[in-house]
Amino acid sequence: MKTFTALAALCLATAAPALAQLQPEELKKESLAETMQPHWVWLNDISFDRMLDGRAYLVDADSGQMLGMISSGYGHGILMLAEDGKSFAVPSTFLARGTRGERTDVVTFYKTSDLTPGAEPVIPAKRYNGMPFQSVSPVMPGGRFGLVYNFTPEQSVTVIDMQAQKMVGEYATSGCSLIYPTGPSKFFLICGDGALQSATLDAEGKVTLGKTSKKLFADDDPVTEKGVWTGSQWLFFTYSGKVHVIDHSKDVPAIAKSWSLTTPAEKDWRPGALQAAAYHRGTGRLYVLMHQGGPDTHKDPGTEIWVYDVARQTRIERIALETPALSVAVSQDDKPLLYTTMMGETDLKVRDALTGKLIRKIDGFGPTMTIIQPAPVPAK
Amino acid sequence: MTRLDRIMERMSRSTARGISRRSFFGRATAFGFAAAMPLLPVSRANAAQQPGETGDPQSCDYWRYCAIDGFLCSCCGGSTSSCPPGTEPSPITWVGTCRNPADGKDYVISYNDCCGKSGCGRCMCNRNEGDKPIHQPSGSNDINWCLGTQVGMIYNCSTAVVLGAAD
Repeated sequence: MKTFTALAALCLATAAPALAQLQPEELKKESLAETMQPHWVWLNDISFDRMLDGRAYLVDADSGQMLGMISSGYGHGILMLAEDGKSFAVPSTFLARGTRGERTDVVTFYKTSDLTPGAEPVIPAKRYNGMPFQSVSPVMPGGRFGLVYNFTPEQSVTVIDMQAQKMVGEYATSGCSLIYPTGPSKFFLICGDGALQSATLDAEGKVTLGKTSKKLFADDDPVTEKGVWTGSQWLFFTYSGKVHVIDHSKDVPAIAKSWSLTTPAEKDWRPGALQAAAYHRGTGRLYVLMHQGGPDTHKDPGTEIWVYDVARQTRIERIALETPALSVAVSQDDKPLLYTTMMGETDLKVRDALTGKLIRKIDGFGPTMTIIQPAPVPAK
Repeated sequence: MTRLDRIMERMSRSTARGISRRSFFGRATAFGFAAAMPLLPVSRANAAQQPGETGDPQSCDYWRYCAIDGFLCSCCGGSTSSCPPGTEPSPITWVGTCRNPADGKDYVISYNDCCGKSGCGRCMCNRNEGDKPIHQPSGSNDINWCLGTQVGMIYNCSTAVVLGAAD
């Protein structure tokens, strides 16, 4: 035995002659950069099986590492990201006893650097609850105000002062839904009859409804809720694949022009999914999740991403996906990354947005990821 | 080809099949197989069927589910027209129009949610025949309709109640 022990000690000494003894460690908390980096991305998860446990994951798409997360409440929607990337707010719903008791809706403010809950104004307990879209709680360009869409089923919006981190008030929207910002104090809503309702915010954030357009969208080929903001215009997509470009420059919203995502020969292809399209402002490229299918397939996941030059209204590329995707987003820097997720699966796929080449898969999230939110960009 | 078939075909091509059992569609697929097995002689789910109906109310392909989105109450202790014990029906909801293959007639179906307990988690089913965007709320299946209940807004499962002939 003595011989064996001596031999073992000799082996250890030979194998690791320079290793110092490990030192006691102090447990500490990580912190992040003050500002959200261009290739950081938030992945929202509605936690559909256990909706009390909504959450969002923050991921560095360059390193493939998860950086942190936030816990939200019931029926998690999306984050309200400040344009400077330094802070954000999360509209959330809580019940006093988990699944029972008094409902309280709040907007919780966070700093990117520590992901710790800060100010938390209570808002009317009317926040829309359902599948989330970008238009359920957008931040207005310029970042002063954020708006939360309410549905009880009476419709209204709650205005949040993002700088004072307080609620301004709640304003009825007369049967019109969702929020599509067009300027620091200007937005429109979509109405049930296919019209658009204009609205403005005053200096304090009080909403005044403006004029309502005529009926713009057909009943037999309606636009989805999943419009895309180019930085200067809203693009809306119909079930069959038409693109309606909205002119918001006048008092009454109107269709500026329309074009089609498909040619007559491609009519069995159409847009679908939950987060159906993304726009890269620097290149003017539009990325749309497309699938083959007929009527009533407007929520089917995309099997390909079709890439368009919006100015020319022409397709410039088709990216075949390894597996179907329900959400697509693109980073806004000059080396853009294209992100996709699929509700029911657990990975984020990261591509070079200019070539379509798959760079990496980052796994272990979800499994009910909804809206992807890349780092924000300031309004021009 | 039904939507479920298409999804199953896609899932079969998916490299993520191994982990997909936790998924919405994975569950729907798995249930598709389970539904081929004999059911218990008397099930509450089937008891809700009326004379003149065929099909399996625990299957996503059942005719009444043409515009449903959620967990089937038939798999959760309820049926197509009843909520599981301890849950409360939503008084307001969205409706769809589905064709009964047994008589070839169209019927208006009300997809009332059952509310007050967390998501059942069984028999996830999403079909979108005639589904409208949420700015047309009465035809949209993306909204949690539990908002109209006294027990709060916690979603448990979805029913598919026949309101009457569509004509």
